[in-house]
Amino acid sequence: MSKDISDQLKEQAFEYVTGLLSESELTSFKEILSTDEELKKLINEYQSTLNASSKAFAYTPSDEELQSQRLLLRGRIDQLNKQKNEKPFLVNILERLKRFLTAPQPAWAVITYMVIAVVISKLIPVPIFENTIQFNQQSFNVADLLQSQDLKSIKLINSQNGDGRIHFALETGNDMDISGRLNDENIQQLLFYLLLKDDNPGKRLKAVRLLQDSAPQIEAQAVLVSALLTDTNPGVRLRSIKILKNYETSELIIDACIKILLEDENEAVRQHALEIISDHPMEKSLPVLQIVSVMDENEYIKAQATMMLQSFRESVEPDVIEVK
Amino acid sequence: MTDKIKQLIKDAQNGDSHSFHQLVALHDEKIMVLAYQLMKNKQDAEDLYQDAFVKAYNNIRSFRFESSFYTWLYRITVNTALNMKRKMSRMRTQEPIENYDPIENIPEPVSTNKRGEINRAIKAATNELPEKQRTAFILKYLQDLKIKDVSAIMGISEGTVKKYLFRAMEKMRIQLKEYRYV
Repeated sequence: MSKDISDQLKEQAFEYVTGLLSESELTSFKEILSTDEELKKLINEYQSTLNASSKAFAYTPSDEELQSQRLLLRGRIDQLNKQKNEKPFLVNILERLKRFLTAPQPAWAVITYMVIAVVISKLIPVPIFENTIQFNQQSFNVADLLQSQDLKSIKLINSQNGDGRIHFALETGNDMDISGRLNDENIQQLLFYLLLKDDNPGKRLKAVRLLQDSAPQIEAQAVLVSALLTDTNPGVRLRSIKILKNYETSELIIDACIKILLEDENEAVRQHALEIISDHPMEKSLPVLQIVSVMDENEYIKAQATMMLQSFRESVEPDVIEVK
Repeated sequence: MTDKIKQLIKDAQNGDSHSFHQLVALHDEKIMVLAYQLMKNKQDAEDLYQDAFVKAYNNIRSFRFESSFYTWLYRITVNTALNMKRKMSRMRTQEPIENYDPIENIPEPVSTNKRGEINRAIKAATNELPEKQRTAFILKYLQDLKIKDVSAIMGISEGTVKKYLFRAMEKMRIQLKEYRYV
């Protein structure tokens, strides 16, 4: 562009393109424009920049996309309304599980689910994380922070420089940033908190996805079981159960899988529960397999359950052979 | 603002979340487009959509019918976006962690044609703009708002909006010079 065009004229050209000139300004500008080829070129450049920009950013969200965002929002707002009466984080885990345990169940199921409450209740009274974090030369106790009502939000941000560290931005009375490796206790505590407490399913998914790379441990197992049993998002439940498959199977996991198999509406989650049960035959799984083999909505799961029933009976009761 | 929307806002202000969701359904398409333009990827745009509407829900009682509901929502969205970006830049990161597959973003196909190249250059050029210039540019030229609305949304004078727009336009023009006549 020519250096001859003054800044003032450039500004007028911009106002002309943007439609900001008054009647009188427009008339005099058009007069100049009719004789100035460089100015015409400048106008063309502004206009082509605007046209190209609107094309580059053209985007129309699909109805499906908007619907799914509306559903997520509805869930978050419902959660917000519920939270007004909720108790602090760790106390709440047990209560969330209790809600499931107190639902009408067959007697055998009630007994088995008691195991979950016992194991969890053994974990909860122990403050899981005593560590403090340093930020702006001040110390903060993560456990205190999570129990307090001061924590407004946690943003989970990935590291771009590939240092393997996980970065959080915490919005509290004092905003702070925390970063650390997956096996750092504070980081794990924050991931547990996000997974069990955050309203945003996207964040819960990020948290559970990160946890899949952590070493199996009893605390993580309890949190994953809790997420599996209570999360409203099928993606979170699915990811949780996939991670639990890598854990050494415990009564807690099997009991959770039994419940999932009977109640989870998501076929993929039920399928994984069935696989865990299949890998670890236990006598108490037989009644649920009988139910699933007849009543599951998914034909494949029904067929799998039927086959497993057969092989379970053989492995669980090897001595019981009917001979006519 | 229609009477129906006024009534929905009043009901939402009285705690009726169903009315709030109706308001969302009436306004969210534009907010999603704005979120996509303000943020640098779809995942962040979805986070922004969610956070902005949650803030709107929490603050609906502060809406006094002095501006249009859209202007109010835009203002919340723009401020939320600026906060999100501030936090992200504090972390010196640009990309979010990948999400779980079922809602994973479908990546934009790598376009080999000239149009794709130009689009990428334009996005890169807008990303180079200082945040306030970029926001003003998006609101004025991509959202097609009036200067006075941009001024109300950004909480700055109309003169400042014009200054931002002119600077943004000049930078974009210079940055995109080589693509001009393609």
